[in-house]
Amino acid sequence: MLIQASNLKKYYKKVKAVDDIDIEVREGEILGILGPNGAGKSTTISMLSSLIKPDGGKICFKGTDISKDPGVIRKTLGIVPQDVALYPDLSALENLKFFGRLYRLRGEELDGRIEEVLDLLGLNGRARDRIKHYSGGMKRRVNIGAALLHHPEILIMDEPTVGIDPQSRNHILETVKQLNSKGITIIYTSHYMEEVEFLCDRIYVMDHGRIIASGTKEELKALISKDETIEMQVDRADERFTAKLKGLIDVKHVDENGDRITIISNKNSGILSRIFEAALENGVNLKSIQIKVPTLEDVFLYLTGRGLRD
Amino acid sequence: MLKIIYVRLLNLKSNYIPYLIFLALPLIFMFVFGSAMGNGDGKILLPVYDSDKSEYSLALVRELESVGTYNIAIMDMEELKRQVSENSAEVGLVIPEGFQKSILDGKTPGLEMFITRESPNLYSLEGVLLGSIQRINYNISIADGTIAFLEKHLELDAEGRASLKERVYQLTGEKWNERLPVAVSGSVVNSGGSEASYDMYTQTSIGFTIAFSMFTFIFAVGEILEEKQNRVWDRINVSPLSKFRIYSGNLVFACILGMAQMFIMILIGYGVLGVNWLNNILGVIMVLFAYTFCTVSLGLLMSSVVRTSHQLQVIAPVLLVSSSMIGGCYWPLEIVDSKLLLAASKIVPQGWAMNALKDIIIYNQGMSAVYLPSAVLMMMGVLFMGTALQVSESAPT
Ligand SMILES: Nc1ncnc2c1ncn2[C@@H]1O[C@H](COP(=O)(O)OP(=O)(O)OP(=O)(O)O)[C@@H](O)[C@H]1O
Ligand SMILES: [Mg+2]
Repeated sequence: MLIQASNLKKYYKKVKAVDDIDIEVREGEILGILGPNGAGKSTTISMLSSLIKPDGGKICFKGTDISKDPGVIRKTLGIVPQDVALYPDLSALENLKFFGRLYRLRGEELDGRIEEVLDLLGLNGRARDRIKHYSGGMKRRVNIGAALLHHPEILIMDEPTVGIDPQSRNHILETVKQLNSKGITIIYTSHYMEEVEFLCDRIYVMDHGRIIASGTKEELKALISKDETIEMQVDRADERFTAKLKGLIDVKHVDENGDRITIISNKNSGILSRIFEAALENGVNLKSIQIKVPTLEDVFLYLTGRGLRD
Repeated sequence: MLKIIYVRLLNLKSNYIPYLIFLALPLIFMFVFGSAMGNGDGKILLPVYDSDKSEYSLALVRELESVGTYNIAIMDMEELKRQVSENSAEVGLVIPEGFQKSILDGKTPGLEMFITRESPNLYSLEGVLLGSIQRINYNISIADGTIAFLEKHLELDAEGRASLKERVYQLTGEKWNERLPVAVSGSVVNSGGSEASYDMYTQTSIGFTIAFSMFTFIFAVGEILEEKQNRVWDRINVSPLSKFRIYSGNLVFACILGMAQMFIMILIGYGVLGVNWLNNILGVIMVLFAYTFCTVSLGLLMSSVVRTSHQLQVIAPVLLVSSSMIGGCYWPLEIVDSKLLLAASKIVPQGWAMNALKDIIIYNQGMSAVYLPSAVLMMMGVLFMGTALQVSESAPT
């Protein structure tokens, strides 16, 4: 076990940002922390990386309590903060040099590492431009690069793809896979379930500071294996229709988003015919309807009654 | 630590404008205020209204001029009253009608002085006046005596008598003049012995150096807030670099920047404005070191109390300008009467620094004037630093 955290707590005045959670990180895995905005992902990560002190609980890195000796994890940890944490007025090269020096890299070794990182992230041409003149995607890549210079054993990435174009995003996701295949353990937080589903071996689902489910993708999806998800599009939103749906036997959740309605119900309950009946009764036309393969989104919906991006 | 200082300097390269302003502004002010508020040559402005307009009143004015301490401006009564009441001059001298007559009659001539408050300069002027009139009296009696003696041997008509008297008077005056330096230094009141060189350039040079270096110190420390906001702070803090080194790197950078500014301002104050900064170099260095420590700690405290650099930019100028006023950086505390304000000057660092620097630069006091203020500044610094670390330790990141 690389990291073992138990009973972690962090309370701000009114908010229980992290409320008594246990997390373990295994060597060589990509661990996902999935949760909506404000779930407590960044706070958890800050505690794991020794940046902030927990109000309760204990974090051990390879058996050493990091509150007593943060040095052990700091030497070998790379962190990609949620915001682009770079000096905007300096060039990528100057930024990388500085962050490399923080880890006692210097001279040719430092230059070599910078070269390597620029290659990996496809940033070679523009290393001398100031960060503030970069596009969002390029900033994000340098933000990752700055965490890789010292060849960390663990890389913690806090929503590294927020607000960038699909192409840069794919590039980053591929890079994460690549890094992991070289043996780096990765903790990856996101509120995009597709990313987590694509990348992660194991996943913690967080909401309101608590872990509401954890396990592999398959284990999580098995939570709703007795259920099926039905998505439909209607020609107009109708309250009586949704009320009727909620009242149907076997229906567990109804989520309404304009003309789109998502239903979770017991599997193989012959629910479709009853949905058609209800539509007919209320004069609602169904434009499309389908039974979906469950996703982590559905797991979250099932666990919390809300979508991830509400 | 060097890494932090280095990266700060790199950043400074693209963000030096504010600091340039903190340097240029006071330099401009120094010239403008210094020349507007004072007379510039180190002499005390002395407005004189001569209503006697006699030979002897003129002699008195010449005597005063020959002392060398005063810049004498003959003016009418209105103007004199105005200048004194507006504090352009500390004292105004009025030579009343009948001045010459009372001297000739052997009576004590009356002189009037207009003042708004007591000051060392006032007492020294009194001394100088007494000496001057005494000399005039001596000269007259010597001239009279000489003429009386000559008259026994020579036939003199009234005209010859008058010109001879004038000639003797002059000769005697010149003899006095040769010995003047001794008489003058004895009549100037100050504790150090040699002449006090108080003028507006000295006040503004010291005051603006103290006041504006504080801006640089505080905003240079405040760069931490910028880092906290863009999260570079987090990145640095999860590196193996210890908190102590991170903080000291930032503080040393602020010290370097602020001290460079002080150095330039002192150099210009000394070289161009002729302010006697080198009067007691050791003392000046000691006070400025203590002041630097105190101010940088204050910067750290302010940076840990406010949340963003934007807030600092709003709060700091208000705080710094008002405390610099209270501390006597913009105008001399000597012209402040309010006991409350004078007491307040003891709670701002600028007050202590100004006091110590003026004591050694203007009033020629030795190291004894430096120890207490330096110690107080150091203690304020420790207090600020301690509170700052306390606050940032407990505050959420
Ligand atoms: N320094 C702080 N002071 C007060 N409250 C805070 C602080 N940091 C976080 N919080 C609160 O704690 C909760 C969890 O925040 P956190 O940033 O960990 O969430 P997150 O899962 O990272 O969300 P996001 O996806 O928006 O980044 C939020 O309600 C947030 O407002
Ligand atoms: Mg976050």
